[in-house]
Amino acid sequence: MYGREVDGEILTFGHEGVLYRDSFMMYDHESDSLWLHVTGEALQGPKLGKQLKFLPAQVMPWKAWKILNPHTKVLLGKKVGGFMGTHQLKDKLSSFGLAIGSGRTPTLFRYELLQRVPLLNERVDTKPVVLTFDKENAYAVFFSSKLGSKVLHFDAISNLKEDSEKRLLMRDSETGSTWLRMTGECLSGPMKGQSLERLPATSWLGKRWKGFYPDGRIVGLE
Amino acid sequence: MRFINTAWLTIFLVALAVSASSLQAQEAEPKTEQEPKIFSPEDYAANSRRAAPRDHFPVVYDPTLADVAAGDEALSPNEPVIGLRIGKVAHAYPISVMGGVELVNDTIGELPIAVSW
Repeated sequence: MYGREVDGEILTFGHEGVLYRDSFMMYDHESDSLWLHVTGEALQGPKLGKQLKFLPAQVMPWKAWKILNPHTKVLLGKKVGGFMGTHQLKDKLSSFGLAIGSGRTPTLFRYELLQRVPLLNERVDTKPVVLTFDKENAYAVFFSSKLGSKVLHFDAISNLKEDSEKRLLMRDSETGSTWLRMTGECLSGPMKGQSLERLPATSWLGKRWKGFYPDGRIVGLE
Repeated sequence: MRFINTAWLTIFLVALAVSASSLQAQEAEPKTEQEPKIFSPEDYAANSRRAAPRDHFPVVYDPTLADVAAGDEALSPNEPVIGLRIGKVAHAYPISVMGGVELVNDTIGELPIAVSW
């Protein structure tokens, strides 16, 4: 998901009907430039080289989204079955991964790995990040693990994995504070009330990602 | 190292386009050096194909969103949605619906957004 504002101008996107490495191109009505929908980059036209701003959207089951966002609005319309359409995410794990970083070291974390190791302290583009996975609902979230000048390292809490509302928890070893794993909010301890910064990440079909980033790093072997 | 070659070629092309167009060249060059572009116009020309005429596939330009109760009627609990919350405003776009429209122009709060699938 992207912001539609580029250099102060709000763009409106249509479907160009062209596929580039199996992913469709969008055009903007304002400048007639062509944009790749999976990266948000303009590849043709006056906006060549411009990048739409990634927004930290998430893919998760409707029931999980509602718990986190009880007042959400939802787009309804004609439903299409097709690949994933109405299937459960859990059934399709092996095909998907979460991608972060589009610069020199794009990285894809395979969901199959995350199912086995649901919390990873990592470095992406030299920045410390923490990646957590909700096994029940099959979705992952990335946070910066730097807060102010502190770099935090997290462990899933072994004897208390969920709170009374069934929300997943993690604890940092620097301050011993307890955090909500899927929202990054600190519930208790010295960091109470603070929040980790959510980083934009995109769910990709592993194969398609490899087509765009042949030298990208894949975490979790096939 | 195909990645490096492509990246540098793209930096060169981007820099060329910028310096030809305006005085922004000095500002833009260091930025492109930090974040090299992976995709080049040459690669685009070689690996793209037209599947349909422009506007053949449906796109949503001015969506009306429903509330949770209507969502519960239309969706099964395990159906995946693409969700984003901006401040206190949250929108969800079911993948089953995005399979049909692929591209939605919407606004969340004050923020104009594009959702694609």
